[in-house]
Amino acid sequence: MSAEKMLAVSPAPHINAQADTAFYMKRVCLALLPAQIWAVYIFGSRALAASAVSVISCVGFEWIFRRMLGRPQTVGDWSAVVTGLILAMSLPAGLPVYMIVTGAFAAIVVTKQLFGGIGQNFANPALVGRTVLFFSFQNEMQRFIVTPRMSQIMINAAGGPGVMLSADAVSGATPLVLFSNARTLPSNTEMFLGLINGSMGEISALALLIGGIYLCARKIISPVIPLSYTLTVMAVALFWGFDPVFHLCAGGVMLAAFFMATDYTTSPMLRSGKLIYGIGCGLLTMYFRVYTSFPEGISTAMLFMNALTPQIDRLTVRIRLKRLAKRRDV
Amino acid sequence: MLLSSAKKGIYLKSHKATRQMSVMPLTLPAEVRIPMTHGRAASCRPLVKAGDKVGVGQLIGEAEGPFAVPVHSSVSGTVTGIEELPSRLGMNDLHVVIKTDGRQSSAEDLRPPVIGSREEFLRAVRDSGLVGLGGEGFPTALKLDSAGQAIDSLLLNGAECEPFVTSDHRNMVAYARELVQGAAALMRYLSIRETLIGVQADKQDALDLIAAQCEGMDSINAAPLSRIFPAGEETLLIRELRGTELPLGGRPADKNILVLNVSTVIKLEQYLVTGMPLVSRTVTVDGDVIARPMNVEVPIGTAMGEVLRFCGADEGSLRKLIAGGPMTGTALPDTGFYTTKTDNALICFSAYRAERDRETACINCGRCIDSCPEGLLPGLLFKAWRERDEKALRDGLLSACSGCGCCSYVCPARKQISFELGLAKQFLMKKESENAEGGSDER
Ligand code: SF4
Ligand code: SF4
Repeated sequence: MSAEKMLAVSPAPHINAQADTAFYMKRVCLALLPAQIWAVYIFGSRALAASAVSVISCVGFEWIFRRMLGRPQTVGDWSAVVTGLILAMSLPAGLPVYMIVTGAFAAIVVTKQLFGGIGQNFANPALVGRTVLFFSFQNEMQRFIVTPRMSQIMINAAGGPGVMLSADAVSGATPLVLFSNARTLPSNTEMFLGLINGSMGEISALALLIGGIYLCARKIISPVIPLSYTLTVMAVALFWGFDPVFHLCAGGVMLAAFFMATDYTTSPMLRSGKLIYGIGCGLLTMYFRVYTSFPEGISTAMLFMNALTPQIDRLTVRIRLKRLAKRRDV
Repeated sequence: MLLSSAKKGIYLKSHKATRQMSVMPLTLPAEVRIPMTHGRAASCRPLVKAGDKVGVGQLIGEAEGPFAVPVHSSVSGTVTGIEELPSRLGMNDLHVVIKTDGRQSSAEDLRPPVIGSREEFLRAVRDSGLVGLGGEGFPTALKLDSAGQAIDSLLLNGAECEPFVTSDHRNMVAYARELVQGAAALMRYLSIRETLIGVQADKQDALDLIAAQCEGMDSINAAPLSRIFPAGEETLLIRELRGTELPLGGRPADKNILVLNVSTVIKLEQYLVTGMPLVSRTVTVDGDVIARPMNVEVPIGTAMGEVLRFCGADEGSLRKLIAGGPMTGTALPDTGFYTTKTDNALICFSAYRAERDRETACINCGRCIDSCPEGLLPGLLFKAWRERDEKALRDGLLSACSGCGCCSYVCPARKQISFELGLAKQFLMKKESENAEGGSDER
């Protein structure tokens, strides 16, 4: 009785999973590490600098904005770090600093915080950041630097059977540009490993796959969206007589499938919804690629599906509850 | 067949340090204060007064009405008074204070009940003072009676899916025979066709012992249950053992099923054989401030502090005391309570283990949905509740929520979903009765 009124009283359950929001966000950062390392390997310290600028400005904007509005600080949940990293991965390595900062502003302030912060955004912040940059700085966003290592790779490639990249070595054209110009393409192995040019985190399908598999294996994300997205892309490619592996590895499909389309907030909650969403992203991506000369196919496809997410959720939830009610005969 | 699609819920680290330890009897306390209210039973009227001599098993609290269950003395000694002390429900309750004489002699008139009919059996169950010992605390006699005549199958709940708690487990190991005999008695007097004893698969020893006792009895069988939490929840137990769904808001009796906790049946059998009513129970004492975690047989009405000290509790660093398991138990404000018939465990944590950091925004991760054993959408119900959206709460089948706590456990935003859904249920009920009163019930 000596212990009167000193114990903590709270409702059950009295234990909880250790994982909080920050835990999951940190895991996503970890999963992006292979792509980041590959970017540094190919593009050198510039890639590191660009990522640092992106992450720092995302976290900084979040901090400043929350503070200005007197809202509880949320930088501790690491979501701004994730946004910063994904944004960086989707940009060319040589992009000027002020442009990266602009992208971070569009992502964190306009897309995320103006709508109430984490969990409230209607579209994936990194995706909006990249899209805004693309439409504001078309040229810079398509200028891919050619580092010594990159030209080495190109020369090697030129010596081999895939005699192509040397012609574009100066401009550093990406495979997709080559594709729309109907030029010779790099081999699938080069595509898969990431011996190509492009946005810094998108070039190596392998590195992204390693991170993606890690996320699925640790149950950080559900595999439904990445699988349905990538399989749809490949199926459509096959259907139109294109090389499915090329379309899987080219551009940002892998980054989008594992890291952007799986964003909790802007993708459907139920498995059935995720399936619809993944297939939708895949179809739209291929539609833009094949039928338009639109270079931002993936981003547009995903923004479109982001916008549809509430509708998908509403539909799938209604079906789910109807089934449940039937099962419990209400 | 098992509905494997229904295997939701969560996997918890079991923390069952006491699973291999036999039950220890508590050193007899010098004094007990026996509450007149236990679990969900109605309060009793004390039958004794200061100066009365009582024996173990003597009736000291008379049950009035079907919701009450008689209370018996857990010790032999002298009544020193009747005190009004705080009860678990935050109200005051009468407690009979008895100074023990150390002899633990039984009351004189104890003898096994003579049973010839269903009515006499129900009478005996009531006289035994039993409530659901799994923590649920519903009067057992009332449960049997209201289940009606058409009970087909008896499910004995030995899941014990809560972390730390092993009191049912140890009772099943020690009293497998009584368990099976008790089930046989229930079947005989209530004309039940078959019994399934569901035990979570991690308690293989108990399963084996029970199976050995069931040898030669076609109609009583042991069945392993999946290791998820909350495998022992009524709807899940029925789903897993019988492959059938309870209708929403329905009772097991609607499917001709009766569910009882294993320890309840063991104590019932002991009463039928010896005539000794429920005067003590097994309590698992565990947690990081407990030096000697163990299962203790505790006389009803023992001061909690006494039980904790017996197990070497470091009371100075105790920060949280949970009556029951950590998933569904109740956190008590202090140690100044007295054990009731429903305390299957006392879990003691030093740090504020479940201290929720400030709740953060829902990130729509869907983990609550994946965890909900009832297939609900807890995050959406939570939002609907915060917005006081009655329609969304009803459409979301809030009434199917069992309060199991899985959703709160997994939520990375640290939302107390299950707790608030409990509030939401009360809110809906209040609205419904308001509507009924106003005659404007549109449903
Ligand atoms: S507390 Fe209710 S909503 Fe939450 S998991 Fe359990 S049944 Fe589902
Ligand atoms: S688990 Fe928590 S954060 Fe995740 S969807 Fe449910 S309520 Fe939201």
